[in-house]
Amino acid sequence: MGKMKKSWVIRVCVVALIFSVNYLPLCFAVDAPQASTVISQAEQDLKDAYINVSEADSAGADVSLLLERLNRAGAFLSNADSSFKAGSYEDAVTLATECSDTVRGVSDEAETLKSYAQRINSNTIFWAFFVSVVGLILVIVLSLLGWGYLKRRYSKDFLNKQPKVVDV
Amino acid sequence: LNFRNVKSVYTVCCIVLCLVLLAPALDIILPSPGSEKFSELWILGPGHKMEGYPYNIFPETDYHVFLGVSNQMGSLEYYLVRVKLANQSDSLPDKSAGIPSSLPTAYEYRLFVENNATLETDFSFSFNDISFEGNVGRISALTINGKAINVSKPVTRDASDNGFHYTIFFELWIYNSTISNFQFHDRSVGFRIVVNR
Repeated sequence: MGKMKKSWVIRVCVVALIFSVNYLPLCFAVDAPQASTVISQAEQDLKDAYINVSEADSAGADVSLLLERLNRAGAFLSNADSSFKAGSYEDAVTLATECSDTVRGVSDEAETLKSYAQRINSNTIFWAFFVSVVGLILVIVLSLLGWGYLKRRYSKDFLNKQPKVVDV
Repeated sequence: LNFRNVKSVYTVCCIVLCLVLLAPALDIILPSPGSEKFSELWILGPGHKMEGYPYNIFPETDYHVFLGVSNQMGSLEYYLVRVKLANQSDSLPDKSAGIPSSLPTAYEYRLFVENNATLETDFSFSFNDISFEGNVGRISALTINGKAINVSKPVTRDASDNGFHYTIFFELWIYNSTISNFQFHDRSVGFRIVVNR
């Protein structure tokens, strides 16, 4: 009796397994509007990341590594678009998600690089002005002193060359 | 050298020295005049030269060219390159009016290029489903960079050389953050192909 019960349980499990294999993908199937939403989100993520990286680049930061990630994400998004047009919505969602994953954190990193570049820039500006102003003051002071010295020396030479009355 | 000459030389030397010392600060205060802003788009043959572009196309055969974009816009740019397939009667981009082609996009590239930099990428394609019926040929499916793309593009036989001619062309679009969208950047390149059985 126990053996029969056991075999029934196994049969039910096998049937349930077959059903789940056949119908589970249908439960998680992606349709066009869903895929379109995920692609739109990925597009927005990419645009946001680009704007932040662009600002960091304008501030003078080295964004080459972030640029690589943007280009990789761009390739994922292009392929997601192609898959969507070909009707492979699941592929499209997978690729669009990869795009979003690739640019995740890019904006924060760009922000950090931007702050760092701005700090360096303000230091550079400060030192450029400092050197210019101090140098200018030094040149003015030294040139005035130099001019005084030159003037004195020239006058002395000039006076030495004056005709004198000499007893013969 | 009289005193007046010495005075002039001395004054000129002091002014030059002041300008040299002020140069770093002036460089920050006065922005340098910007150069002309533009972008470039090109395609090169398989040998990375302006030759050997695929012309005679056979079904199920892979062809390969290089697509390049150069950025001289003064800042990092986000480009969209749209790949389109046209037959003899389709409209190509109007460069003089700056109007893109109204044809659907078969494939697109999203490229981020730094200022004064170039980016080159592969463009590989093959035609998978070409049919011919009398004087009409039709491409129903093509593969671009490994992605299958459904198209339905008929073409009539050209009377001059009995060939079925298409043009594969690339349009350059640029992202405008003010309008949060892409704009046609008035650059396009392409190459003609003739499909065979």
